[in-house]
Amino acid sequence: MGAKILVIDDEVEIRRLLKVGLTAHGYDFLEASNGRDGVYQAAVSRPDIVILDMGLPDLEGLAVVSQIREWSQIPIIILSVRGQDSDKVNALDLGADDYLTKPFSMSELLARVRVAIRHQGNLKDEPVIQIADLWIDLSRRQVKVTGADIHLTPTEYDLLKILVSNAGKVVTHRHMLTTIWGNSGQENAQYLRIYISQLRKKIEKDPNQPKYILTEPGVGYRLAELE
Amino acid sequence: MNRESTNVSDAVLAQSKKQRRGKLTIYLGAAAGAGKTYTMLQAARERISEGLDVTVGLIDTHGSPATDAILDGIEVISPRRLEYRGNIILEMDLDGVLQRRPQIVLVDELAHTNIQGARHQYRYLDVEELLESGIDVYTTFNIQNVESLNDTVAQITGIIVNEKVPDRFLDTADQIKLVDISAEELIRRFHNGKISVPELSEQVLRYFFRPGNINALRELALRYAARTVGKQMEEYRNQRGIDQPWPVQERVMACISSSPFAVHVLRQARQIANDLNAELITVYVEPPFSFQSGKDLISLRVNLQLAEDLGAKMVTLSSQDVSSGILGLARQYNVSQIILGKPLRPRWREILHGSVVDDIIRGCTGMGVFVVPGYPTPKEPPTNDHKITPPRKNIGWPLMLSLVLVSLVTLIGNLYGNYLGLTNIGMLYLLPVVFASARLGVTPSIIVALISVLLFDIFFVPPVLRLAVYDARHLITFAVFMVVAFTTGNMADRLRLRMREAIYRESRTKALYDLAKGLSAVTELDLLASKVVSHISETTDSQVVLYLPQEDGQLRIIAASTAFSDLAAGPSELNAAKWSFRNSHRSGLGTDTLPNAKGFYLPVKTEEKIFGVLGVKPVKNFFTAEQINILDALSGLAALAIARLELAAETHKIITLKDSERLRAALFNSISHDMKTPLASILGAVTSLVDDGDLYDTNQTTALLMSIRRGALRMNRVVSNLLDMARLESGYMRLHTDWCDIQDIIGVTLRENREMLSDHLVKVELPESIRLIKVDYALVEQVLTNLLHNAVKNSPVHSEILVRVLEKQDQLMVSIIDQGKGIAKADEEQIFEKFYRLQSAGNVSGTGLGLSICRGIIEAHGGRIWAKSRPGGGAVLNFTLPVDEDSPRSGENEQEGGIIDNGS
Repeated sequence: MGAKILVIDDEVEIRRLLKVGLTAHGYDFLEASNGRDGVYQAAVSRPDIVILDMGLPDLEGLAVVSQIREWSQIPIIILSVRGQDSDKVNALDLGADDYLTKPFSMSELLARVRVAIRHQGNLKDEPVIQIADLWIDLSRRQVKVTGADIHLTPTEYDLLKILVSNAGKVVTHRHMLTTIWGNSGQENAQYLRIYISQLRKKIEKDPNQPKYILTEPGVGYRLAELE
Repeated sequence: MNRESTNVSDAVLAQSKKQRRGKLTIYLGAAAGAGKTYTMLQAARERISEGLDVTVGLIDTHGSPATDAILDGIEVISPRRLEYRGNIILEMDLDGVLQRRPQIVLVDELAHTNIQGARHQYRYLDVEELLESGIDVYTTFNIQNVESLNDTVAQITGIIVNEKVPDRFLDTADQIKLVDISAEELIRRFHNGKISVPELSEQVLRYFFRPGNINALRELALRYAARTVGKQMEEYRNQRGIDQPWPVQERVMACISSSPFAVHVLRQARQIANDLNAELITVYVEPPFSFQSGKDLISLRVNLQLAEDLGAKMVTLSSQDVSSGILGLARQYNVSQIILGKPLRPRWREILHGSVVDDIIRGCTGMGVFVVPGYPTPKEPPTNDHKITPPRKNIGWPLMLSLVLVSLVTLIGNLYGNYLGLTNIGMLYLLPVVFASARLGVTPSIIVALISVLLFDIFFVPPVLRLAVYDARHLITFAVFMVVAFTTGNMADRLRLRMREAIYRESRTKALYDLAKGLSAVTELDLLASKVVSHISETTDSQVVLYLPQEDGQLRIIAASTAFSDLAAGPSELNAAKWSFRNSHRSGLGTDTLPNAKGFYLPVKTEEKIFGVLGVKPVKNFFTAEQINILDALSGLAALAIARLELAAETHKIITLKDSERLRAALFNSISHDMKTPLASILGAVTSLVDDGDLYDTNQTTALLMSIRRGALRMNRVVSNLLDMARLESGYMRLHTDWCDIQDIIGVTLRENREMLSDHLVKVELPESIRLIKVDYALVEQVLTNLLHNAVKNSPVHSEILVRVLEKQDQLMVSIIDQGKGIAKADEEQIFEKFYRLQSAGNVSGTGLGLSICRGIIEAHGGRIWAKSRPGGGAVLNFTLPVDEDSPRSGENEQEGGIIDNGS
């Protein structure tokens, strides 16, 4: 049996489209057309994943996230339109897991859903992770690209580790900054860009068109899933 | 111009004005006790029975039982009880009436003078305000209270009436109803004790209520009423457009000076003008070379106020030759009668200076001259408490100095008398006299001359030390002394006056010029207000505030000359300002309305509109006529400046509207094309699949689906551009700047647009190390997307597109270089205009918005964007973004980069 997915969106067309796409890929489809109903369904039907639209008529998307997070850690994927960037980041900081910008492609959505399910299953205990030509051994702090050893500074390594352990998922700037520099990290936002730039130079084939570390404008970074 | 048409339009204008105003009905009687109040109340009862809303504003029944009875049942707005010198006095509750808003309000005794503390000094001003607010007023009034009849009444009855109502106001009455009873009846009523006039003593009243007096007053009242009826008849004819031979408008000109006697001239002139149904013009003859004392200034003010109250048109004449000046004006205004006062000057002055009256009588041709007999004025109390004191000349030390000089001459004469001789000593004595007269004017110089003559006589002219003069020839010397003192002093006086006048004129012109200059370039209301206030404050040496109505309609101070102005304190100031604004009339200090306010309030208005109120508080608690003059001019200037700003704002609004109109049209054309094309491809493909899905094989199906996807992506791009444009246009585009790595932005842009770029070869050139920039990531990405899209559109398939970044001192330059046809020189600037598309580009599509959005975004970031053709073909589109000197740099440090690395 596939995972149960709850879609909270007031647009009937979007719900209809997702129903076709998700059921075709073997997922169980649940739906709610407003925030209140969505929170209720999340509590009653115990879905495995929630897909939440930010622009709901009654509750704000943010409120739905925080209400669900009060009692559940189920993955939440945010749907937003361009221009709601700050809402999106706030939702992620509140505990949402990932986001997609409308209009999106079905394959992208399905990829996010797969990542969310995998992370829920806690598959990241493995010490060695391989993504295409990038090879990381978390137990030995070792990084290789196409077999060649790469020397990383401690901060670069820490950044890569955060991305790797969230592979496929977006990691917000704030999360990275506070994880590495603690609470004072917020003031050092510009250095994050520099470290990412340096990290790319070391692991990417073409830093101008990165394959591994993808930028999510205004939100954060994502380690690509190259299967 | 057609005279008749102007006449008709005037009548229409007059009527439309009256429609907005309440109607004034006056019950006119010859004297107290004629039964005006009773008649008025009867009329009120009739109106009530007709269903109209009638209330009593104020009525004093004087205890008459008949009046009390008829008053019974009519709603009375309870009057305000005010205490004045220990007595309780009832005054009409003006605000109460305004709030209650009846259709008709009854107000007794129009000529009443309100007690101190009331809003207006006179009751007729209360009535005026009621009328202005659209309430009809019934009121009572005795003929003796007509301003212009004041002298006549005084001559008939021997009583000077202090309560007067200006003719100007009475002329606005819509109806005058005469309440007339015979003299015998009135006197009988008086003797039966039915008439009480508390203000006048029993004795005066007895003298007043005599058949001769009463009948004379009745005649005045009858004539007054008859004249009003005649005027109404004429108005009626004008309104109906009844043809009549157009009478030549007669004009009567009254010549006045600051003399208190001018009051009689004015009243007489009003009567003559009334009888002739003529327009009254008042000429104020400014004395050319004489010093105006404080008393003169006060009586001048009284005279000018009276002229205004009598409804006269004012002209000021400032000419050395008074008589020819008056005659010139009279001809200019086509005057039929000149009215002059007979001078009270002694005969010798007339011989010396010539008589103006004589000159005018000699010079007038085709005009009548009426000379009002002069008689000593009865003492009239000044109408205002307002005091004007003249500037005082400092005569202390120059007088002392001249006296010292006199003593010095005496000393020198004593010491060197033998050597100098009598004649030369006499000459020396002339020095202090000349000095004194030059510095001090006539009177002090004559004093100095007298002292000099005295000392010269006593100390030098034989017999020395005695007053007597042996040689009569010395008397000539004395006479010469006096003549010199007098003429020089007089001349100096004139010069000084001239100078003062010139200085005043110059300062006035300068004040106006400075303000005009200061205001001409101002484009913001706040700045304008503060400039006006500070300028007026400096010019008139006073505290100044400017009230302007805010958006909620409330009047508020928006600029003040001092932080804690007395004018901002207390509700009485605000009240005066509000009243002034509402009624478009002056109020406050020195006026008849709310005279207890600390400030003088004058409306800032042009002919069409009132913009606000200027509050001015003079340092010495009074204004000279000159200052009021300047204030008027300055406030007029301020009004013009505000009007100009409003006009500019209006124009701007219209232009913006027109622009957006044009924009909308262009948008419409462009959008309908750009949206419909992808929609058509999507719908076409979708209907194919839905309707005949079975007919297509896998490859064909995939091709159809791909075209749907391309169409959708294109629509997405158009919509985002439109949204960006809307945001830019509406000013909602706010930059959310953050530290960004341009390499990162380029990477994301390429990834997001890989589909669009799939048919081209994109290369990126970046320096090894580059500074971060503080920009809005999403917007710069949008710029890059649009520029790349532009390059794709305008260059052949499989050609190379180069994205190059260069770092210059304080900016980053990004260039998008394609291998297309390039851009014609003429188009290099224009391609960034809205809806501009290259004409030669064949079937290349696009809204023509993309590049103009780029420009909007880049300029918002403080950068520059421009296009160039490459010599070898292809176009280069460049943009720059500013870089901070101290912004961090990427790739510079291969080692652990920076201070903040704490490793792990």
